[in-house]
Amino acid sequence: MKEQDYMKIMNGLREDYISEAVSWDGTAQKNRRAIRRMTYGLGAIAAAIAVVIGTIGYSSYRDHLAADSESNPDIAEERLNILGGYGELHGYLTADGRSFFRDNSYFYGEDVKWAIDGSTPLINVEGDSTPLLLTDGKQLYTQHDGNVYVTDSYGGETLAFSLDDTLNCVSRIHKLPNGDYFAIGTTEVDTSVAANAPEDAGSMPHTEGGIASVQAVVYHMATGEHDAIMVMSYADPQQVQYGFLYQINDSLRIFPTITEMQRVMSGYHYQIDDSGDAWYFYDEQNAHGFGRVGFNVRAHNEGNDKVFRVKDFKTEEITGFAVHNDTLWFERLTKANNENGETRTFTEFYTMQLGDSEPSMNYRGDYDMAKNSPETDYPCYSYFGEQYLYGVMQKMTDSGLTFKVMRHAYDAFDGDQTVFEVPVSELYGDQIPDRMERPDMIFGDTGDYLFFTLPEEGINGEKLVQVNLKTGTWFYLGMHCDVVQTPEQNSEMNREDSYEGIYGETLESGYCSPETFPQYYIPAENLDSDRIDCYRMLPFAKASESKLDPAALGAHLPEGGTWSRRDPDAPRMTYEQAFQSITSGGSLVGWQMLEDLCKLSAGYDAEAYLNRSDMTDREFWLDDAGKEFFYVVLYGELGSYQDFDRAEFYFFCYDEAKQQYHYARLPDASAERLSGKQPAGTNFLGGSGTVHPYVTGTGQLLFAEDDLWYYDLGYGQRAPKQNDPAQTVWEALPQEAQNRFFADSAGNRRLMMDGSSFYTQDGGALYRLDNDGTEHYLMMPDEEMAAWNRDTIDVCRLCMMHDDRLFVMINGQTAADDGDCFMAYLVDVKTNIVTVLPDADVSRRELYPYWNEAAVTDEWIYSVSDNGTVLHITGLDGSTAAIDLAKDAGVTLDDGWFVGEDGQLWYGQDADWYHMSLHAADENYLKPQKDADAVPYYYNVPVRGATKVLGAAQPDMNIILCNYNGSGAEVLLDGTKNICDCILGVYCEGGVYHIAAEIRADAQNNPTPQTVVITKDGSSVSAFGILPMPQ
Amino acid sequence: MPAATDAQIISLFHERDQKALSETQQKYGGLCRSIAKNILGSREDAEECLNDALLRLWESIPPAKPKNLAAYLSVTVRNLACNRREASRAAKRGGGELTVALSEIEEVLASPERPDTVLDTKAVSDAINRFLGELQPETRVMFVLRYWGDLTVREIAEKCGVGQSKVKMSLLRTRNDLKAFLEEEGLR
Repeated sequence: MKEQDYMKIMNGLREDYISEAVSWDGTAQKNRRAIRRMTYGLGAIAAAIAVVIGTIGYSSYRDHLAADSESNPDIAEERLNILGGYGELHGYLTADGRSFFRDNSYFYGEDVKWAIDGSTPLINVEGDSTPLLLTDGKQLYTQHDGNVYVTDSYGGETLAFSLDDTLNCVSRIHKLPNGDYFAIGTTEVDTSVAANAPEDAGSMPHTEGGIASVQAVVYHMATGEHDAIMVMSYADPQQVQYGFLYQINDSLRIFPTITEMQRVMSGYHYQIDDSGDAWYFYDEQNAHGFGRVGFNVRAHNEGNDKVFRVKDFKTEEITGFAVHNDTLWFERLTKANNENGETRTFTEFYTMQLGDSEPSMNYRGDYDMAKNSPETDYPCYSYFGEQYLYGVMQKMTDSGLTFKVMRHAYDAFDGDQTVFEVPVSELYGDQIPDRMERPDMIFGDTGDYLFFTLPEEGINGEKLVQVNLKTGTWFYLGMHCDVVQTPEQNSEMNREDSYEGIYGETLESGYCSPETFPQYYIPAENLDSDRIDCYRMLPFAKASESKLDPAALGAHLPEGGTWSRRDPDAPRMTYEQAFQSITSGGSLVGWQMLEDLCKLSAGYDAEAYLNRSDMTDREFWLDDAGKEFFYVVLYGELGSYQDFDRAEFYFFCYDEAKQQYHYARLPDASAERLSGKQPAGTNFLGGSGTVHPYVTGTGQLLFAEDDLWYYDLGYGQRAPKQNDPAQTVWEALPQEAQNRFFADSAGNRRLMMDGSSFYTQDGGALYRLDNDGTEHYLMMPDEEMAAWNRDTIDVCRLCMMHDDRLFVMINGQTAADDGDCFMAYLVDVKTNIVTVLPDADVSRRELYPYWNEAAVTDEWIYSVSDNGTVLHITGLDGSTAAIDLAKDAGVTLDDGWFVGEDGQLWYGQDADWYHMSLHAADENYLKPQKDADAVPYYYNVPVRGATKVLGAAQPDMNIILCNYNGSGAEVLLDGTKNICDCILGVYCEGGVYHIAAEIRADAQNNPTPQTVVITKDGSSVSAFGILPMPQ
Repeated sequence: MPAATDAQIISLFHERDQKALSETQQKYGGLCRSIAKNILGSREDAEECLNDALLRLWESIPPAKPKNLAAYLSVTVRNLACNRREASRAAKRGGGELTVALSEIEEVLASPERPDTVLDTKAVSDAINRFLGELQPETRVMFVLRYWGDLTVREIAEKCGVGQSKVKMSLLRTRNDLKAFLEEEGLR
């Protein structure tokens, strides 16, 4: 199968399956929070469909919020509010009675939110799982489960009233001074039962199956009783509009007195005055009427005892109204002659005491429609009525070619305050809207900010203008437009010069370097440059490598923390302290260095941060603004936190003048060494060139060499290769190498090899070493080691199979300290996949000690158990077999047994050596055969790939190179002169054998052994002796 | 400190707060790195891929408001990784867990006895979707993580809070069932 086909198939998996999988939390599935989350998810989806259903989701959202707050004290402190932001919510009403809110950072509208400081565009939150929140300017309300609740900012609710069957959804709500609630919303009515309906009622729009969604007003008394009226209108085929006023009780009935009220929709509005009284306004063919919605007062028309008419008056083109202290305020457009006798359209504001007979005009606006519009009867450029906020009228005009918004206090008739003014062309170019009037245009006023929607979307997507009433600055907002403009910038502002324009393309085409700054951008054009420029994510300030001396700057590091400080009152450590910790702290593994750094500060709870498994970088801010910070990036293989074994350290400093960051990496030598690497050209033992391990039969690492040195790794010493052999003496390894490989307080070996590669274990983890000291974490069977005390783990045996599967044998103690643990596994060094090998049919304690002496070939792992009477064979695929060795009584396996490349198992000691074929199908053939001609071996070092065995034969203690069966033996060192005590290992490359051994020239009088390295190149044999280290 | 909720992270994106990136990386970086690394076979490429994905998030949120941030990010990462893998294939790169996963399921998805058959990937995808719909959620999750996310058995075990053996057994059975299902559907 082609890989592309496979990917295509898997790319076709359903999105919900993928969402389910990637969001799966196995642990959470085990507790009830999972139920809560699923409910939340369902609610969130439903919220996008219908408010009523969405309110179900809100219950869960609230639970979710509470759960987060309970489990997360930090969040609780930050007080996540029910709209998903932070801080107390404050509710306001727009001029047309819609609710909007603000918290510490955001304004929230019905389906949109935006940052108060203009740093975000309009953000569509439609379908979000946040609640449908309402306000009357004083309290916050939510509605769900068929009830309306008073809520605080964080979801604490008390029941206000039950919706019962009166409304499906409340859109406006007011608590009246007497404790009653006045609510406006929508409900459904069955128009088929509407009596007195016109004959063509069947043409009612928005009606399906006789059910129509209609506007309704409900009066809920504090006693729990309620009354409601509903208003519905429709247009008949002759486009004559009708309106109906219904009353809710047991059945619907029509109030016929207003059934033919024309233009009712355009003029039927409700207002709440300062005292909380509800008023309605209607237009009956320009015979306007105002009435109070009293519910329990006299009827203004027969049959309707819920609404009474207060005043009727005749006027034209009224566009809105407000009621304040029993005074009606309204606006109309009129045509009149100006001082030059020219006919103009003016905006006039009227006031009228509700008891007066006629209204009186108090103010005439200055809009000259005839001059500025091709249509002398251009209908309406200004708003009053619904654009009435807290005693202030908001007026929008098109004066000349200027788009203007003015504020005008209703009781101050002598002047406007212009709060916004721009040339129309700036917003609309040549495409000036035919009508700037927009029914859904919104004004909002919080006292410090005014915002309003534009009559038409601007040419750049501007939809909303927000004005800071204190400073006079303003900016546009749009869904895809986050351009910040102020009056000062207005004329010069070019969209290409915006933040987005400056950095957007750069960032998009930039290159994020994972190796240097995972969180930063490096523009592509700088990749090939010696001088790297990168961009910090925010505030998109350029950062350039510079020659900085942080110590000279007197930098202080914060009290722990990452992106922000935890405890502002805590003392800070200095840069020098940090630098000292990094460079001389003793830790050479990345995460440990970072941990040391964090622990430097007293009282810092490092665990809270450092247990994170995938953290790769940290910023330590030196100030609250992030203008100076210390940046640490960790590298390592994927896996646990402890896998991040390398670290690099940078210092960033913001240059105010240049508006860019400078950064400096810690001195290369330090960083290289600290990150686990040796200086260029230096290997991990501090020498030069490739380090070659000398192989031993039991997998121990005792001896190695590189271009300059021989290494006795059993004692942690080295000897120069170039000196006169007679003068060459062992010396201690450099301290760094000593610390790294020989300083395990638990007594575990720190440096190991598998015959060709080096490994190190540290803190219960196993790493493969590059020649430069870079460590590569090798996966361990963590699940099976769950009960282990990781600090006690000792890797006993390593052996590479097929150059990619590493056989690993480990032991340790249980976490409860009640016994030993043993385990053998294979790790694929390419994929890091771990395969735990089976235990076989014997107890671990019997088997695994012997596995310490396991023989490993490319294909099989051989181990003995049960006192050497059973040979277990384990394959790469985990298959096992067992061979009973007890058939030949008296034969036991001992140190030094091995399986040759020819498949022969060799074992024995002294002069008695046996071998048998492990490939034979006939079990009888497995009977060990004593090799009468074999050279007796005492130390056996199988040289893989060369089918040779090196042995030291008693009693002469020669060093012999021979085949497995002893044939072709060649004595390299005559034991009659120099007794071989021990073979330290063999290294064979290019047919050249290097054998390291400990010998004594005079066993009787010179008990101190000397090390000798014998080299056999063809027929040439040479020896290099190294004197013991002086005592 | 507990990880931020998705809503909080998305809010940070909307606030253009760079903590959004660190929080996202902290919360989902491990998963996404695993997906990318197991497709690309290279930690470096995976890291690069994740950072590319974070950049995509930074650029797309706002206005985007993903309902499931983990899915949004992981799909982005996977797409980027697949594209990168495709691009690097010409340079003889590849390997990684994707190859291992493919080797496991290859024989299930396409009959080796019919190598000449043109694979209708769309039909197979649809069939797998139907098949997955019948599975228990946990079983389905393991399958998707393995063969869509290319996670290792160990990574799946960690994510699902179960032992590796259970994962292996579940995957084995699911593969066998899927094989039978595809045969019934005439797709192999």
